[in-house]
Amino acid sequence: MSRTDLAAVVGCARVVLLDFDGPVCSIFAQRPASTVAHELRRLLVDQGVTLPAEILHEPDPLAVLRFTATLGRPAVARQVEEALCREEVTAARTAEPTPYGREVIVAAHQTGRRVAVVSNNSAGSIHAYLTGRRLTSYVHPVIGRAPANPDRMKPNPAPVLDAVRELHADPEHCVLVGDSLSDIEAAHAAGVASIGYANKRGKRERFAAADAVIDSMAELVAAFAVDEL
Amino acid sequence: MSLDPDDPRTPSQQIAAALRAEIKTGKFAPGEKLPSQHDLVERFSVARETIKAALRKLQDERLIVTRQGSGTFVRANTERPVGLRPHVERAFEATNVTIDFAGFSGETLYNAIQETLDKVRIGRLTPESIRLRVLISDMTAPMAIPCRAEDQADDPAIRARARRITDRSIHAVTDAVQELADLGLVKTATADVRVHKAAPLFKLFIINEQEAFFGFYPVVEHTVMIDGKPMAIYDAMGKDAILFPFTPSDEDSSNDALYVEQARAWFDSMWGTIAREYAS
Repeated sequence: MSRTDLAAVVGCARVVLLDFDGPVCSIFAQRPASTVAHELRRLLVDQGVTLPAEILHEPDPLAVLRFTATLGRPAVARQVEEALCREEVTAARTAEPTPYGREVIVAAHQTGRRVAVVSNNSAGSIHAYLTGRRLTSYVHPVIGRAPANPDRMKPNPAPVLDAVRELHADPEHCVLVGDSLSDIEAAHAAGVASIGYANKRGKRERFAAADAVIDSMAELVAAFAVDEL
Repeated sequence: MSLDPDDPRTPSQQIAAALRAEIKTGKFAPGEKLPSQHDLVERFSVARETIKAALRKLQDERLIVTRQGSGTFVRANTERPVGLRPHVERAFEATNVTIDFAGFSGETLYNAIQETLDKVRIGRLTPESIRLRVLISDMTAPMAIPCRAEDQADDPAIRARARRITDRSIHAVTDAVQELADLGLVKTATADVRVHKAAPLFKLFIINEQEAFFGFYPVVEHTVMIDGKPMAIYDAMGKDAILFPFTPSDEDSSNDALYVEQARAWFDSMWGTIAREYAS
């Protein structure tokens, strides 16, 4: 993936859709995701749920949430959802900003681009982070996880399309930046260009379907071509 | 002009419409005084209350302003800053010119003064002396603004960037003034620059000790390149700031004269106490 790909993708993008955990911050930097997943499991066990082997050691709380939705017990699903929301809001307070994540948001704004967040995390936790970092005025809308409806999470294109619709934007003029394959798939299904943020070793290879791949968010700032930089 | 009895609008609506048209077509220019209520009563042959109601409408539409005791005026529809440059140029028609500037980078100063200095160079303006004093924030000292946006912390690298920008315009101005003295075009020309450790929050021009211009620097976030890497910073942004003019006249009852007096006192107090020589 070359620099020209990135310039071409970013050049025609009037709207930048950012995944939250990854491109903006590392939400579970201080409160590890695996600890949160463990808390959710305990809650399920308390409700008499038998956990299958693959969930027993699952470090991703969102995977535990997805499993919960398959149980056919709406009350339990709601309870887990609420617990996860609480955990995410707590984690947002100690989240670590992604290097140059802020710069991307501010530079996008400077160059007349609109910025939205499309995330599988709860909207409450995203708002908490953006408020704490004085970033709310740059970001609209914030599309978080649809409560108690894990099927609607990315790679489902629904949340991406929600953002596009809310901005009255043309999908052709939007680009989504994400650090997981589900982001790229959701963007593709929504007809939106995608940029893979390879923030960990080995990720670059998984982003074959992305329109461009970056190793640092700083590359994105450069691609915005801010005159006054 | 009389009102049309067949017009379904009330008399006050008709009068408001007539005056509105005269303002919008430029019959009354921005800043111009409207006829008195007494004159309008005669002109339209209506009660004073009807005139008052019509004027209230125009006031609500922000077309006119009423100044207690002095009458009703057409609002200057573009309440923009009065351009600084023409004032600077007029100031150079005086024998002894003084300009005091306090602010962030001096870019506005450079833009405002450059053309006028050129006119001195070609002999179009011939003051005998020019004294320029520039008072700016010391970017070698820790500052509240500019700072890093992420953690609102002071950063020497950000200040170094601000200093480079400042140096450029300050040098351009001081060199241009010095050149006029070297060429013997003015008897004396001095440009002194001093710095203080307060963060830049506003800019102030005092021209010939008689007029002042004041503008706020809003704190604005933008991404800039610092040592080759993008960084979001909180910065004092002056280039779009409206400059408020304080230009007292002899019959002026407003606070402009007092403002200029206090601005001069403030400038002198800074200049003579905590400000230090600018080492460039």
